[in-house]
Amino acid sequence: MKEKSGEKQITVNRLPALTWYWLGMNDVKMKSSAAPVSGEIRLSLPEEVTMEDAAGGQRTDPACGGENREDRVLFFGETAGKEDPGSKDGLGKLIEEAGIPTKRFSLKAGCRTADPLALTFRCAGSGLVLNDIQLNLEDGSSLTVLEDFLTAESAENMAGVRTSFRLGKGAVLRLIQIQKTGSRFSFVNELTGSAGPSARIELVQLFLGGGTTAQETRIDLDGARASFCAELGYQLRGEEKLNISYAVSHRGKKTECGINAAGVLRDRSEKLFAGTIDFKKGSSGASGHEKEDVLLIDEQVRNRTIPVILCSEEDVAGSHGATIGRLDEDVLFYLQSRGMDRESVYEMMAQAKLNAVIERIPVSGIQREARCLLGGSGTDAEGDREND
Amino acid sequence: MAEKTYVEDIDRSMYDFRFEEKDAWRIDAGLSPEIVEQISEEKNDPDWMRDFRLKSLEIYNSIPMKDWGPSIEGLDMEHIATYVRPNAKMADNWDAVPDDIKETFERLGIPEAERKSLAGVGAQYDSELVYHNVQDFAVKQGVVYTDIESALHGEYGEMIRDHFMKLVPPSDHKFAALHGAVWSGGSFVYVPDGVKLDIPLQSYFRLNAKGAGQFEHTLIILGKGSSLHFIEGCSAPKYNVANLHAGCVELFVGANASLRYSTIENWSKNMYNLNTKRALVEEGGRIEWVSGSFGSHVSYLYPMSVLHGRGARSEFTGVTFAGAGQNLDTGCKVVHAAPDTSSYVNTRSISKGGGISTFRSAVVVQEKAKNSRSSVSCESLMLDSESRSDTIPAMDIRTRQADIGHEAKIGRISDDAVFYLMSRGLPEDEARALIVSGFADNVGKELPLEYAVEMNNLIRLEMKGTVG
Repeated sequence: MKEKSGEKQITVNRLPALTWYWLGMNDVKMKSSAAPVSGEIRLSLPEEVTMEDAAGGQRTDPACGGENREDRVLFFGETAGKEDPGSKDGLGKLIEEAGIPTKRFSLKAGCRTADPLALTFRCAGSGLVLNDIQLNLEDGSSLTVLEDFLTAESAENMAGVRTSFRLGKGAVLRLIQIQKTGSRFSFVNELTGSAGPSARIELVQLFLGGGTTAQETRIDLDGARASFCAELGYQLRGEEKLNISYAVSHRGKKTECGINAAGVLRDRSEKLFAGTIDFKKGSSGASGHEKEDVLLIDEQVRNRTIPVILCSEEDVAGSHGATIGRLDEDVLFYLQSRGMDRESVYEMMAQAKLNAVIERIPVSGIQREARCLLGGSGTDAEGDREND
Repeated sequence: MAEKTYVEDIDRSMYDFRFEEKDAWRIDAGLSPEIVEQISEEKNDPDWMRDFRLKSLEIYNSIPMKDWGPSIEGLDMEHIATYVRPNAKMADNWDAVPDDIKETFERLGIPEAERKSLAGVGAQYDSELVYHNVQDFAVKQGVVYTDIESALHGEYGEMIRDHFMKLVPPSDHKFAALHGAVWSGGSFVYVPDGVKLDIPLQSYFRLNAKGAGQFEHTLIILGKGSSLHFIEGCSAPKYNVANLHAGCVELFVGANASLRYSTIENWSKNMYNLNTKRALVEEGGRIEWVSGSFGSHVSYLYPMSVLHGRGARSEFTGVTFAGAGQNLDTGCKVVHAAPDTSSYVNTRSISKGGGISTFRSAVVVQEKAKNSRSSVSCESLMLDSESRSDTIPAMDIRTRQADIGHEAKIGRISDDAVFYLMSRGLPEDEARALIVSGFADNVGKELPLEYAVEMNNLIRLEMKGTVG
């Protein structure tokens, strides 16, 4: 983290394998001159989930084995020999130096909740608003978590939320993140986690607006047969900029990951998607697949994509694919032959891409909220909810 | 459990022979303005070229070493002689070439290939061309194929000055600057408007000297509506110290012209191959890169196509085979800078015996490149878990009126395919070699027959010793 006359600069979304600098894809710099403050959260807590506040910068959970690192499942970056690329000069460093307290949510072994843990972050404000969330799911537990990052359109500060998790053997985490923030608002959303044997992470990320956003996801599939699947949908307008980074490390045998991203760019918006699947030595039998489908609506948009596969293991299967640009001519022809004009077809297909991601949200109430936000009626309403 | 495959290192006896540096003159190792001036003196450069070299050296010293890609820590410029002049004048018949040098090229099959299937040949030994010849029928059509130094002082001097390192400026990257400072040798080709040369030209670069660098410059200018197939080959004997190749290829493809540029790169495994290749393609023109990378200790090689005119096209077909001790970072770059342009990239990478293969690409579609299309496909094959294979493809699309597709796959040889071939009577090592040859067939079928045979021989040699 660089600091210059009160201005803090952090580096996020660092590509695990660097490439030509002139492409501007190796990392993202985010700056703020405001003083860091701890953000407030409105939450809905299922009774099975316990919550505790840890002192600023405390990453160790005494309940899980204290300082004895051999005896506990570790959070991302804590494992011996593993380097957390985000900690050096990223959001984590900023949170730790500012002493932002950690909210830790835990679920006991075998416990499965029907109600989601819902966290609505109060991101707007005059300072650099920071939050640190930890999710600890013990063996065999299952939890759905909703994280809402919403502000009124008028918000123009910067905020950062770090969510880290660890999943015990067979645990299942369904995480839904929805962002709709102001067009002059800057946001860093960092998600890191590690999964034990047969653990599963199901992630749905929906980006419906925001000035400048860096979304960084780093997942370690440590245990055998651990899996990660992500559905990402985004819609950008105006001069919004979205930088997305996924880095999934396959360490356990027969681990699986699937990343599907679909989005729509309008006006003069810009998006960078960097997805990395990293097959580490020893991950035999693993498979990883990523796919991106981007619809470019207006003439001055800019879309950048860099899907990376790193492979140190022979017995794996990896693939990535991307389609960028216009609608398929056959689809266009078919729908036009049914009486729709070209613009209407594009609008319908743009909505369809986002709706397809919303369909993957496992809780109907959250689906409704997402649809409401997508329809445009939610932003200020949620912002008002947040500000009331 | 699937049986593991052990793969021997390549038998390089075909390439791995060398002669003593007899009567050759080599410049002091290292890099300084004095050394650059000395090279300039040796080459009898015009003033502008001497100034250009010195300016390039300044740029070289001002650019930091890159921090991505394979390590080049083993390359110490203080121990590299940037100019080695063989004791031979350039000749246009093989009988006039000194015996040891002539034998070198005979063993590499160059004179035979010239007799059978080439319209012209240039042969470079260390820092200088020792042989250059072009067939009469090509000369009669106005085709110019000569060494670049002679051309600098002849009627094409101004043309060279107008094009030399304009496409790859010394400021492009550190080793482009190095090339600008110490370049020597290489070829100049000019094909006039409307001339279509049906038979290829070939340049072959042989680096015999130990601890030396080769910095040849290839400049090809195709007039409107012309066509050419240019073949480039390179090899070197193996030494226990680092050698360096930092050549530069600049290709200017005129309107509606067509150029195929084929390379079979087989440097020895002590070579740092930091080569730069770039093509500028005008309206309706076409560049086809066919690239086989088999040699070198470390390679950075990404031929770039700048599609500058409406309807310009590029195709890149490549195969990279990284074996023990090799870290080959290869791929391509395409810039769509005009409407209706199209690019097609199709590559295969193979890693074995601890080798590292990286496919790296960039496709940039500028705002003005309406109705452009690009398709990138890369496949990687891992032959064991000691090796490594990465793909790092980047796309930067700045117009909605583009169709861009990308796909990549990584995996191993299918056990089912091996089993099928073995059930038909093939031993396992032959079955695997056959599958790998088929995997690399995208390049083989784009090469003239003789070169496709050479490439398949290389793959067979790489796969020799494979046991279940």
